[in-house]
Amino acid sequence: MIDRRKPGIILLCCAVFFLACCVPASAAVPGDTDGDTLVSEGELSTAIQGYLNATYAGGSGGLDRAALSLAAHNTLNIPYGQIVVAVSGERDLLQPAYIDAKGVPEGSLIYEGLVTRTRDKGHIGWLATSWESSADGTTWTFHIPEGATWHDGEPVTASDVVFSYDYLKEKGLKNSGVLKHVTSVEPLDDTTVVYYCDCCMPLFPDILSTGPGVAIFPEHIWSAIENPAKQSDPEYIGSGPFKYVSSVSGDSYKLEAYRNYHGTLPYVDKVVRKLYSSQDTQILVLKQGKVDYVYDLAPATARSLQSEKGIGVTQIPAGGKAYEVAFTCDVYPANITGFRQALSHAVNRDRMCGQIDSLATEPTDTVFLVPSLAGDQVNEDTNGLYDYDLDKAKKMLADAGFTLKTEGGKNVLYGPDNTPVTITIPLGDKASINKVDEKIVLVLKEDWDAELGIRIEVENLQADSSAYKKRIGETAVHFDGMPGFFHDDISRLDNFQKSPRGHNYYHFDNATFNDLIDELSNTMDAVERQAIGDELQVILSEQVPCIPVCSMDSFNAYRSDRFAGFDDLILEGGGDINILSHIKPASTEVNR
Amino acid sequence: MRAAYLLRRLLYSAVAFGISVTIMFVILRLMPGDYITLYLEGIYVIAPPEVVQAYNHAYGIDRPLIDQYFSYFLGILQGDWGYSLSYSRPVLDVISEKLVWTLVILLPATILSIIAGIAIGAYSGWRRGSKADVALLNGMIFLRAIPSYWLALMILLVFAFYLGLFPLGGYVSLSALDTGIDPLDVLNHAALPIFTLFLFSVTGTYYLMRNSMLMTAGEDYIVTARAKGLDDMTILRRHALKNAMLPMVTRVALQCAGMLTGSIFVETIFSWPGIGMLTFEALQVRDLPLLQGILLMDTLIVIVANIGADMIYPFVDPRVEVGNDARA
Repeated sequence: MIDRRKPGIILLCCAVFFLACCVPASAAVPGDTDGDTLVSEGELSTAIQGYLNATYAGGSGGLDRAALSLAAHNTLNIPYGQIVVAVSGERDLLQPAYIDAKGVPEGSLIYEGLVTRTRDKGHIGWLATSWESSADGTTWTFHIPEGATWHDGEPVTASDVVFSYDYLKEKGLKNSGVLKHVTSVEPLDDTTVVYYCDCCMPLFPDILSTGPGVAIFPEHIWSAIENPAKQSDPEYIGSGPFKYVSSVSGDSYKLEAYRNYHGTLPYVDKVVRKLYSSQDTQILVLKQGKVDYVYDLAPATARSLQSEKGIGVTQIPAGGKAYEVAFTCDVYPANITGFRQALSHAVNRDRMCGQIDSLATEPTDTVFLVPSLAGDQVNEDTNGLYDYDLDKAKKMLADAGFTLKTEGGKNVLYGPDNTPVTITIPLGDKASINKVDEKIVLVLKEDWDAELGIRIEVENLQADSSAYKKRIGETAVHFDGMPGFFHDDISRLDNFQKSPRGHNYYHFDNATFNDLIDELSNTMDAVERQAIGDELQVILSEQVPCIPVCSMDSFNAYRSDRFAGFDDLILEGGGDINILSHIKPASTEVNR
Repeated sequence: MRAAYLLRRLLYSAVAFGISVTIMFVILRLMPGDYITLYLEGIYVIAPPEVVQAYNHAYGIDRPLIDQYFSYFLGILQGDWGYSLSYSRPVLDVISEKLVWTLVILLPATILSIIAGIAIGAYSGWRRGSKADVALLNGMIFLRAIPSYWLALMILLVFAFYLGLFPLGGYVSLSALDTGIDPLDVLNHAALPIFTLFLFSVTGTYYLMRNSMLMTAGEDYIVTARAKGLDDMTILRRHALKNAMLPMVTRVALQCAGMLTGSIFVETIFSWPGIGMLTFEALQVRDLPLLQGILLMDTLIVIVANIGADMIYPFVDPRVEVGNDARA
């Protein structure tokens, strides 16, 4: 008699084995029993007992000596081990004239800015412990800690902050534009510094920390240097959690935890950044274990790593670009509000996301802000207004004076001037990366051309960025693909303001909107700002200068068998300086 | 006579260099777009106009074009090739540093490919129609047809990743951060890039040598040598090879110059910090002064290589006398 259970048992064992192999091995920090990546004193005590029991009393289990050492390092917050990060360009390595070439706090582990930004638009103090502003937002006061030192042991004082501002301006360094509204910076005492601005600056901490932000440099070193752009810095003295150790030009550099750091010591002792210019190579070295962290992966690449043993992948919602169909509001037929409103119902976001990458994109059904970034700043009343409904679109086109006719079996839309509507869409610039614009236009053609009768012509200007920028001001429709953080705050709605400098990308000019933006710029109170932001979003929903399509996620990968704590920190934001300061070694392998 | 010829060549080359500099200057400035703005958008996303203005002034972009040209030309003659936007260092410094690393892989690859190409091409041409010739010819055609990027990636995958015989990239191990650069370590890292560059260039040398040998093999003096009773290998070594190699002199000189920019793929795949990767990075961030400097250097190398080829020729073939008027 055939035992029917046997094949079933075999299959079950195979399934378990298969699943076990496929589930990526993820290391916990030795001694950490509650999974918070921190080894408390109680947990360490338990681990020590386990070790002694196993070593001397013939018991089983327990950590070995090396693992126990790692656990103790965690409890006492003593930096341990080394992490190797892959970078893709030499611009990501230390440049000799760093003070001019760089300056973004979150991109640097050596130099700090006063604050760094988190994903929920909060700020973590780096050099600054606290800050406050005047009621009118023109004065910002920052407090730096007593006892903070530069990596050469000299004290960090308010004078260094003042110097950094003066130096940036005087020498015209690349980041000097960041502080264009700052008229002066004055020290109140050794640990207090005040920025005076020529206008209300409700988001001043943002300006200091992102796009690109500014860092603070030591006065006692740089005051003697006449031309910083031509100065090769051999020591890179900063105030950050890591200090410079050594570098190999064009290949790698090493930092180590600065033991006298004024803030929380990093858990990792050494950080090495090594250049691997091709993403394919970066994946190979990650798999081989030569590198512990790679970032900005293509979605398909990241997905291929998800089943790899010992590798973790983090998907950051809207960490990539946010795409939209943008109108040039003074070019026919986009200058007709009814036309724009009608087309807002003819954008099939789900299909577009499917074309781009359904697992890495999220349709955006707001008027501009990306919900996962802007949070409760999004006006709920303006959500979901641009539903995909071609019949509605046709009716609204008819109401706007457009006529849909059938000629030779094809739909042809005639405008109020009784000529067929033809739209030229230039392709290029940021939306062209990974050919996203081509995928969007493919879907648009299906609906706008075939159903609505709008002739679509495509101009490929991917090789000529300047021609593209010029062309988008001449055509009724173009695509935009700005970074996600350009859609994360109501202050970003100033993209639609017609400023004294001239037109915005959309050639949108609404007097009420313009006035509200001015009011927003001069409003400090969060509640009042939100009320203005809500009004602004209502105007956008009515005027439709653009139709958001989707946001794209970004992907990072790391050795989950060696480090713990990446996921939450990456999602929190704050860049490398936040991540690398707080991740915990989870394997004794990192002690290399 | 030779000295006079050399002087004349140098003068003509200087004029050619000057014309190249002018053409490059004009073309790069005719390119649409403002490169300062494009570069700053890599930092600011939307470059503030006042910062663009400051940088235009710092880099002299706001001066009249003719002013810029003369400053640039004089600067080149004085060794000032401008300032790299992304490195914030003199262009010549950046290029010199990278050129060294390119030569580390380029010179061995070129020498090996020349020796191998000549040897295999000569043998293949001499044994035309034989099984060896057919196999070699088809092998080289196949090798030539493989896309260079794909070939480099496959070599990396097989030898560095799956077999683990060589490192996956860079030019030194992480130990160099502690103990300094070890030449043997560099050699270990250079092995795969050299091998890849060798494969890219050996086919061209092979074809040329084979064709040259096919023409030489039919010459009367070869028939005479055979009639004298010399064996095949002696005829090949003493008569055929030397004559067949003459076209190779020019080829080799131009190959050295050409491989400099052709190494972009190899250097990018293997993360080798040479001129190729520098060019790629400069293009990515639109560092125009740096790109300009790289093109200038390429021009200089081609000119020097051509002069070098002319000067070497008389040593290879004593019948050739450079500088002699062709008329009697």
